[in-house]
Amino acid sequence: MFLAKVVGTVVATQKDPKLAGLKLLLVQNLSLDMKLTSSFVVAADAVGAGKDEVVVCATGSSARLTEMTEGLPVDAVIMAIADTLEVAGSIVYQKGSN
Amino acid sequence: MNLATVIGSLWATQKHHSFTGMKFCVLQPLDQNRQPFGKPLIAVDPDNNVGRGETVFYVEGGDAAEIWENHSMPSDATIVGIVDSLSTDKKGES
Repeated sequence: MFLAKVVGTVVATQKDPKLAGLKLLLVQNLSLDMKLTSSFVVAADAVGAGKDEVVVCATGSSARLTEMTEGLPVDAVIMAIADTLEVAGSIVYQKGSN
Repeated sequence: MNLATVIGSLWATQKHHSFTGMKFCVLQPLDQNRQPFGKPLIAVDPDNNVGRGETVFYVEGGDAAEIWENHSMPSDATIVGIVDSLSTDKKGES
């Protein structure tokens, strides 16, 4: 999985009919020092994430293993919202503190 | 499967219900000489028994989602073992 920040919402009226009602978010990858990198992905939301939240995304066929994305043409899903991230003994992210 | 060192942890209270009771680890993949190789990633620790600094091996991709029968989870990287020792022809290490 990779760490990402929700930077936007994707609205599409013309899409695969199976995707109707699915919440799609634009997420930008984060490095472990919480800096935004240059890569983006459109991900389905399975946990109710909102803008600016730090989330964890799974990709590939695993992304289709939530109730919301089962059998859908989806290859990226937000499956967790980060509360705290600790790397090498120091807290690099704490939800609500920045 | 790949080798990695556990370099951190991630806590998430809001997560897909299939991850209940599990924690997430930050992994740095390793090469055969146990040197850092490639970018760090986040993996599920399904048994909750992995600590920082340990060398583990993990599965990636669709296989990571179904490590147990009748329990699938939206994970593309899952820790499946903790390395006790590792030796190669080049040099033995423990």
